Amino acid sequence: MSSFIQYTLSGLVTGSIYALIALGFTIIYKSTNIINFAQGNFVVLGGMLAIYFREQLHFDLPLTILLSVTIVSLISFLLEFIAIRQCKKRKAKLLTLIIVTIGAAILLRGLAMALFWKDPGKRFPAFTSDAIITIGGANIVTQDVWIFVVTLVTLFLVVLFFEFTITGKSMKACASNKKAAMLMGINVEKMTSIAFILSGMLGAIAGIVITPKLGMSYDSGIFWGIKGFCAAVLGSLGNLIGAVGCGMMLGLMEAYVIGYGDIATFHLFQVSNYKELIVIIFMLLILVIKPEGLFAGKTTSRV
Amino acid sequence: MKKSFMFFSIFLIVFSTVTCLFANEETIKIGALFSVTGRTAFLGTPEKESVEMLVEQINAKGGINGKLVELIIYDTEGDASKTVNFATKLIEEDNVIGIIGPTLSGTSLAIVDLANENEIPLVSAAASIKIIEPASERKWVFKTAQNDRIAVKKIYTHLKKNNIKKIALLTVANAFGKSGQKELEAAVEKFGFKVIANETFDPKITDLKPQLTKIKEQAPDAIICWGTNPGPAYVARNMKELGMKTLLVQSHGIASKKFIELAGDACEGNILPAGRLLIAEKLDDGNLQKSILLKYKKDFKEKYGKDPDTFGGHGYDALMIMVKAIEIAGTDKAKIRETIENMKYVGISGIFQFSPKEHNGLTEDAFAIITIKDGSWSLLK
Repeated sequence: MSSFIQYTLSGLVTGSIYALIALGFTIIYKSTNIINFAQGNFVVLGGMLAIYFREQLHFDLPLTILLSVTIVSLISFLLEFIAIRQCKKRKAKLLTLIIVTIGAAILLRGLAMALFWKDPGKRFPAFTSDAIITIGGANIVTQDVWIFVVTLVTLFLVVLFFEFTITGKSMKACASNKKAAMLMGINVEKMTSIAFILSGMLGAIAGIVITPKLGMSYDSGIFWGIKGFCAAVLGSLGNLIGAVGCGMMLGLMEAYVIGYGDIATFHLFQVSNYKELIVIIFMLLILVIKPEGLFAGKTTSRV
Repeated sequence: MKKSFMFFSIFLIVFSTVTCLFANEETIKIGALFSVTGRTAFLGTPEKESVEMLVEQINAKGGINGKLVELIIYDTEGDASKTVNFATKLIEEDNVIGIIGPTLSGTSLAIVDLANENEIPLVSAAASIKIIEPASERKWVFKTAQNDRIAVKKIYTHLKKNNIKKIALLTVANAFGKSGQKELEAAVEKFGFKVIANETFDPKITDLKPQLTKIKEQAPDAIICWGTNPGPAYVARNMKELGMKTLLVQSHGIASKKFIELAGDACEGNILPAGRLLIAEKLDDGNLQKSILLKYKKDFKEKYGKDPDTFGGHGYDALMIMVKAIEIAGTDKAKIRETIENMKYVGISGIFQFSPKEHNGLTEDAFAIITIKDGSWSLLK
């Protein structure tokens, strides 16, 4: 039983990380229909900046968080302002814009390597302590609790923002029908900027909370990006609660496959060694059966 | 004004003639392939630093048999296809008489055939035994890093001595880990261990708690983790988080100070087989390697302001073997190869005794079992 609780808790924590990254994808998609493949690199930048401020400049934690989040949101804003906006002015297709974000991802990865360091897996101390918390025979560390709480709070705030503020609603309107939104007097460019700033913030926050636990390497961006993207797609791109739910689900699935995969297949082969493959197969199956994702709402929506 | 102008011109003339002289003088060209950037930069960078330091020292003493050494280093970024391109360039354009490196097992395997076809001596700095076996087909290829096989033998011998029966294997899913896993599995029967879990994990940083929870259920006497940083550091940290007190055995792939930095106090009591560089000061005075190790440590610290690690030693040994062979054989490639094949050399990684059948030349004596105590390496007697 304690093993089951351990798998569940580990899965939920890993899932929270995926969820947080998926939220970043979702926000940009929700308001611009762009899939931002540089999202994983925002996570990396957030983490590496935090290590730099905390470990090398010895700033205290709040200042570290403030600075890292600000810088990453600024970079995200600049990505939109310099690259995306210019392409849009030249009537670029959506696909072109997505490819621009892939280019940005490669650029950011190179910058992270050149400006920071190449050593893999550096970290900074946990927010509060390295204390171990035991729940029903399973152990987690306090940073795990932080990750979980930060994800839920972020989800709550983002949902509030989109559902209950004029700006949030306007952003949704932009994605759903740009022309109509413009006719209603919504400044589409401004909304796009806000979406990028927000997702930059979320990326940075994700990077900052996971680095004390898992460390950060300059080239982890693709890894985190893919996990977050999968969660966002499973959760019906654009659905905030779906992104978080499916992030958690993905994390749990990975943990259970490692924990029970061998037993489930009668020890015929080492299932846990094919964890990624099995999770991807599951995901594809879900998407084949339900291409719109698990959290698709009605297509007609009033915003 | 006029005077200073004249002075300047004279200086220019003298300078250019001197450079011309140097340029005309024949140098001994050796090629080097290291993964200086990229994910495995922590392996390639100390190798590059070590060989650059060594070349400076050799040239300051007048080079090899009066000729200066010119080392042409390319950064493979740990990428096999880039390695092949650079190796071709070294052979065809730079006309080197021998190549040292590459850093990784994967990149080394990518160019072993190239070295054989072009009949150029290659001294790799990577671990996998596949690089040099079978020696009859890998005539031109040698390597300095200790084989995985002897590392496994060293670990198993130690565990057997300590009455350990049930072991769990936890290996990284990359070339280094795969090769280690194969050797670990192959030797199990001979030592009579029972493998109760055999897990692999992604080299990308992930949470290893699920794997470890599964292993915990089976209660092994020891866990053997085979990988390069940062994965093994997370194994140590996660084990601490799960409150596991099982003996954790690491591979020689983590033998650098970075591992202790990454794992913190969670790696206290971990044991690993590693070259004697880590514990050079604590060796007996009679040890053949001691003076070489201490000199390397001192020189490296003076030049770069940090301690060298065993990976730098692999590069150091590769260049020294090449240099020693050229000292004896001159610049004829076939003769260099033959000389290496019969060489005995006391180096950083151990005492090498090459033979036509043995292109690594190290035995398990090259390893010491080292434990981590109070954030530092210490010799386990």
